[in-house]
This record gives sequence, structure tokens and C-alpha cells, in this order.
Amino acid sequence: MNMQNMMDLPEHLIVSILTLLPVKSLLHFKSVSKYWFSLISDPNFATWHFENDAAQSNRLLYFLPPFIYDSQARCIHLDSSLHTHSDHAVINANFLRPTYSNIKGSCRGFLLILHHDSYLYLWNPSTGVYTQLSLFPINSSNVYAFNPNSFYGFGYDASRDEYLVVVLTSCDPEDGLKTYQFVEDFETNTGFFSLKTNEWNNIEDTHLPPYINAFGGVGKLLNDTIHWLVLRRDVPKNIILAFDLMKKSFSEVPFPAEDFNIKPGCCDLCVLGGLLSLCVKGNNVIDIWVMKEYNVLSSWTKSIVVSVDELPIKSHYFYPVCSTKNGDIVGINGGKWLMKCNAKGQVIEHYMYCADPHGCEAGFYRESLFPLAVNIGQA
Amino acid sequence: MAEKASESSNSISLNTVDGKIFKVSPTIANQMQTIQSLIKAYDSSRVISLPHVNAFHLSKIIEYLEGKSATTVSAVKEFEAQFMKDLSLKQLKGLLIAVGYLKVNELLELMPKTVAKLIENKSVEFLRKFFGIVNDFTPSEEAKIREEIAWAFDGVDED
Repeated sequence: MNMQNMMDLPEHLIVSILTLLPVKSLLHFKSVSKYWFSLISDPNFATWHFENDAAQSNRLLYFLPPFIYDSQARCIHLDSSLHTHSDHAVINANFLRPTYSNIKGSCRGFLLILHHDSYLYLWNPSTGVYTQLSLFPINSSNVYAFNPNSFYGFGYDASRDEYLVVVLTSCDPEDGLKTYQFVEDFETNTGFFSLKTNEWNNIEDTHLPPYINAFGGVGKLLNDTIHWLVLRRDVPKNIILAFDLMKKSFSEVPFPAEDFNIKPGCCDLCVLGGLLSLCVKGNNVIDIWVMKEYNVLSSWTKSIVVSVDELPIKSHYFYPVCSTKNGDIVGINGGKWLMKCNAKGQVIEHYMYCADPHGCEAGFYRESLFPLAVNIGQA
Repeated sequence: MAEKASESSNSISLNTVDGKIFKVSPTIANQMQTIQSLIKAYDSSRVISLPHVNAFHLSKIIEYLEGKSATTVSAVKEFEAQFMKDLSLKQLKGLLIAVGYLKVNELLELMPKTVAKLIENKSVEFLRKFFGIVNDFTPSEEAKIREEIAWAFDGVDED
């Protein structure tokens, strides 16, 4: 049979092939034909691609120390070997002036970046799409925005197809910024920015107790809810604070035990394999707890134990960033080493991605083709 | 009579577009969803015509369905890798169309993965040739798209 006379591939087969490809290949293949251009640009296609677990591509993006280079970010592919140098791509971040940036959240391929020019940015490093947001009005003086006690979170409300940035600030505006550690009676101000309305809103009807960002972590997104590990000053105790993006309301998620003992710098919250997880440094070991059933206290299980002896920098803690396609766990040690361990807690490999003694600002994202609805820019 | 039915009398006859008749066991036939529903709809003794599948592609599909029943996971993986490696680009595309038409579930999972791996770092020209796509952009439209995503063009394999 003459192959030239064969009918063309049906669309469902083309889609099943294309949803397996990395974002970079797909951008490149937009120029194949008008049909391929519109297919790859379709928001539904972006969703199919993102939700195809066989194609997931997890990356760590980090900024080189500022003032040395132009605005450049680099990224490491976490699903293949950390030593595969061809996967260590340089990413153009020209829209950011070369100064300090902090990565404050990650959702659907986008990173939330707090930049020291007093703007927030949402950026999809895989496609170059970004948008600039103003700071939360109460944060609009630089001092508040960069106060270590401002919490950030970034998520997506699927029911409204809406990206939201959430901010909590626990400072006493009357009483300077440094004293919050000693004051018990101060309020937590909260607001959210909707990419749909393009403005900040206060979260109404909430009188929140004084929360302190003692652990310094960024909000972790799971089940349309952002989670932070915080110190509640009035009790006082450490808790997991949760913000439901659909209901716009706060709640507290239980710890594995009432007397669960954690200290700042030795504990972090993360999402591993779709489960809320706590990583706690104990004597010579790091325990990873997972909450097998969301919000069910009894379902907390100690799932993985990593020996501190296996860490490149033993004096530092290990922050898990994500689980890979194969179910391995990748984490950061000492702000400059990446390490990967398997589900048994054995370290498979480690890699020093940053030579700067102070470490590099880094954040995790899962590649996507998603666009933004408003103020779209192109890096 | 039913009790006596041997495997051969139970077998299903498939007639490819190039006029070759294949006799396959019900176990094999039922792994092709399109044939499974045709057997249900018609008398199973009837020869089923496959207007979109040629003898080569059907023989490859049968070879796959018979071969993948290896005992160990690693043996199946090895068999699948060799099976895909033996196909030329033209055969790969033709087989994919046949697999899509016959709805052979396992190959519908395996083949897109094979094709995706193959084209991941290929040029736009390679893709057009492989999929038989006519470029309907004007040169200036194409240049504009390429310019917008210029940074994605680093590291493309030569065909």
C-alpha cells in the first residue's frame, strides 16, 4: 500500500503524542502549521498537557547572585539525573532588573516573585509569560513587603479559573517592625490579589490571631488550599495555617501529635506525591511525615527517614522541594546542594548547583504551557 | 457442537485492505476494541473487513499482542523496545494509524510515547515530513512565530 495515500493521524492521536512533549518542544512546534499553532495555543491543550503525569517535568529555578550577571535564572531538570548538564538551561529573566528576588510561591508552572523593585511578578519560566502586580496596599512601603513576617502564597481556584496571590502581614504599624516578637496583641492583616479583577481585596470577616512567620517558608499549595508553617503568638504554639482559595477562609491543620516538637530552621512543610508532608530534623536523622488523608490527624505517618550522615553539608537541614516522576524526593541542603533520595530514604545523588557561599534563591515549578489572563508580557 | 469447538473454529477471520485474510484467536481479537465491537454486532463466523488496515500493520499488531505476554516485566520492556526499534519511520506512522483505528489499548499507550521520544528534539521540517503536514503559513507569518519563540530553538537535533 502506498503510504502517501494513508489517511492523516486523527486529532486524538496527535494530542496524545503532543501532551507527552516538553514545553520547549511544543513552543517550537507551533510553527509546524496553523492547525498545530492553534492546537498548542488552546488553553484546553495546556490543561491536558499539565495533567498528563507521564509528561510531568519538575524543575528547580535559581537566581545567580545579583549584580554579577544580567538577569539570568538557571534551571535544573529534576526528573532525570541531576548531573545531566544538558538539562541545566539558562532562562532569560530580562524583565527583572538584576537585583534581589525572592521566590514566594509556585502554582501550575508559574512562580510568584517578590522583587526588590517593590513589585510582585507572576512568571512562567517555560513560556516566558509574566505579569507585574503591585504590592498589597498595607505592604506598599518596601519595609513591610520585605519584612520577614509577611507571608506569601500563590494558588489557583479552578472553580473560577482564577489565580490568587495571598499575603498575611503581622506587624504593628504603630510600633515599628522589630517588636512583634515581644508583643502578644497584634493583628494579622490579610489580603488577596485576583488576576481576574486585577486588584487587591481585604479578606473580610476575619479576625486572625497573631501569626508569626517563624519558619520562613513560602505557602505550599494542595487541594485548592495554601499552607504555611507558623508560630501562633497568643497561645503560643506552632501550627499549620491553611487558606482555602475557594471559600477565602483560614483554618488550622493538625500536627501529627499535640506535643509535636519542631524548631525554626529544622522543619519545613512540603507537598510530596500529592500529600501534605512535614520534614523534621531530629537526632542524626530527618523524618518525613505525610498526611495520608487530608486533614485527618490519625493519618499522619512517618514515611521516610533520611540519615544526616548522607547530607553533603551535615550541619544544615534538608528542605524537600518536590517528588519526581519516579517517586524520588528532591531537596535542598545548605542553600546550594540539591539532593535526591528514594522512597526508602537512601540518597541517590547530590549536586552543587550554586557556588556562592550564601546560597542562591531557588524555587520549584512544574513546567506548563498556561497563559495568564491579564497584562500578559513576554520575557 | 459448541463443546467440540476447537481453537481454529473459534478463531476470527480478518480481511485487510490489501486482501489478506488473518485468522486470530478470540483472546487476540478482543484486545482490539474495534474488532471486539464488530464481533458483538455481527455473527462471529463472518469475515471482518478492515478497510483502513493493511496486512503488514495487522501482522505487527498480532506480533505485539502475542509477544508482550512475556513472563517478567523486564522481558516485556525488552520486547517492546526491540519491537519499536525494528520499525522504520513510515512504518511507525502507519502502524500508529492502524492502532488508533483498531483501538489496541496497550499500543495506544506505548506508541505515542515512542513517537514523542523520537520527535522531541527534531526540527519543524522533520515534523512536517513525518506527519505529512503542509506548511500553510506565509513566510512572514512563520518568521514572526519563530522570532517570538526564538529561545526555544536552541539545541534542536539535525534530522
